[in-house]
Amino acid sequence: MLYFIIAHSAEAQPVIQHFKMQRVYKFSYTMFEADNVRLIICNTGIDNAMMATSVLLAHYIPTSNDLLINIGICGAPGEIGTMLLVHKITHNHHSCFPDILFKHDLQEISLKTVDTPCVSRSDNAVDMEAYGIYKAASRFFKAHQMVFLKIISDNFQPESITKEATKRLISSKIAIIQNTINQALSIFNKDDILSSQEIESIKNIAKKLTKAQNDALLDACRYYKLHYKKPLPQIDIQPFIAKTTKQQRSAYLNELIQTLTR
Amino acid sequence: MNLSKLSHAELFSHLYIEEEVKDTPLAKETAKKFSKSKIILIKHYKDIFNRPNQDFGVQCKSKNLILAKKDAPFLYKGSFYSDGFEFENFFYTPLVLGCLYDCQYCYLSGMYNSANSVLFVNTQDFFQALSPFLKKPTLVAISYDTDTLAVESLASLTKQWIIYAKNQPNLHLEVRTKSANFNAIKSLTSSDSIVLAWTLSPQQIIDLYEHKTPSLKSRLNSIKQAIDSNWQVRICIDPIIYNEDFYSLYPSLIDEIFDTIDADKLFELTLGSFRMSSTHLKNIKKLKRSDLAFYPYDVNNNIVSYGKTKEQHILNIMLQKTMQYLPKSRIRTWQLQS
Repeated sequence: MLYFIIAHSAEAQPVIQHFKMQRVYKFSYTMFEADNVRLIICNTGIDNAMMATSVLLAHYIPTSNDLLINIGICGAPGEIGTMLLVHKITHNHHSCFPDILFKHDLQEISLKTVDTPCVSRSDNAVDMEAYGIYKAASRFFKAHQMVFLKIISDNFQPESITKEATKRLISSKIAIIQNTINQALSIFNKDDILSSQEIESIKNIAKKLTKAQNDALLDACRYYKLHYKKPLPQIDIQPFIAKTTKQQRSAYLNELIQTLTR
Repeated sequence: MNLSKLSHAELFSHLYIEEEVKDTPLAKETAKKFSKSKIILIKHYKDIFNRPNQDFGVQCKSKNLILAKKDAPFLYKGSFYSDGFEFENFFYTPLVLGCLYDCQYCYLSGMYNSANSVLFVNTQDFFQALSPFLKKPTLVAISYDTDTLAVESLASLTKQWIIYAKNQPNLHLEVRTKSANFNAIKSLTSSDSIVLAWTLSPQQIIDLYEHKTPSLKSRLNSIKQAIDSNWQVRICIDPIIYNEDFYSLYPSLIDEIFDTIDADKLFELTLGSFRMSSTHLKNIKKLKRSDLAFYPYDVNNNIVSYGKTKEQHILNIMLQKTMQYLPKSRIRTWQLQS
């Protein structure tokens, strides 16, 4: 699942169109969804960003296969329309660091999140939400699961930005955004060694076992799959049902674990 | 992918440098070596290395380097899990945190949140902290939570320590490595108080579990060079990984070693079967990447191992085989220490 946190509708619209998302009415935020994609409009500022991110992620608890993407325009030195990938976000002397572990051709930057629009020239790119998004999202995502993409909209003349120009800027970068998402997802590790069917079949046996015995069986199954690099053999529940005493079940389980790990 | 085949520019995509050390010669030199890396200034290495929301397994695919200044303590008491070689003072010193190699059985992946490495630039502070202990014979393991020789091209730490130790009669060093990087210290003369220790495994085990490390053959070549230059060399077959191929792989390893190395010139050989703190193993299981994490080990006093009987069996087989080449007095086993 992709989770987009975007400050304004004008910034979100090209993304909504690209992923063919539909409006949904879940929370008191403007939200859109499609298969495997959710987008929330958080509005301007750190507090708004933090609240919207928390609301979204606390409701749909993300997994280790999910990715959070913040896309938006920013003021920065440099050519208007340049796409930037953020490796450090600073706010009031506090910093956080998304892990960029994938290959890319984008320009990387340190971003400063400010509380009011920045009208004076700065060496850093500036925005008004990224720090709040990172702080809230880091409760749910690991550092490599968060991608902050910024497009230079102005060289510290925020009054020059229009909604139409913003839409054009984001639209022009949508292919790069998609490519960056693909790259970011390509380095993720598999969620579990066991398939959902395998977990399901072990669950049936688990009813006959203690928590510790079940953990030991799951470990042995994971060992088998990683060591022999082949699917788990069918584990028959019948012997567990047939064994009437705890001692018998325990002895059978030990035999099974020995077989799987020999 | 073997690290030695990578150029500096390919090694770290990001270089995190503490603001306090950014103007030190080592930081400047490192930044120059990694000219293609993105440099990110940080306040303290823990802001990166100790972040709670890191994924060790994913970071292993793209390890980064942090340059920092270490604050006290600079020395730590040697661990129960390793051999102190009967020295009353046995310390290890964290010159680098984390390792460039990616060994699936390594406790570091269960101990640290981060797969990145921290290189401390203030080597002189480590020497100062050590000097009060040097009235007595003292063993310092300088390659403990890392592989110092593997990062020798970054900071010449091994070289600096060897030179320092030569002027300290009570200081004994163990430099343990899986690298094939003897060339980096080849210009130094050997010393009786310094042991270069190579960890060796059968090539099949290296391929399975010791990712990014040099091959057995290149490690053996490095060992041969060190012995030929009169260094005291310890070979560590530790940890021994027990699997269905143990009986063919490990005895053959002993033959392969002594086909290359002159047994008479080897200082000693140590044997130890796999063991680890159960807390570290629990964390390694969460990475879900190696069968070794899920083996049904025995747990005793917070240590996971193959269990006394199997461990004894493993060590006996290895001991008997090694004794074909070395006298028992030059073979150590970790179990005898416990």
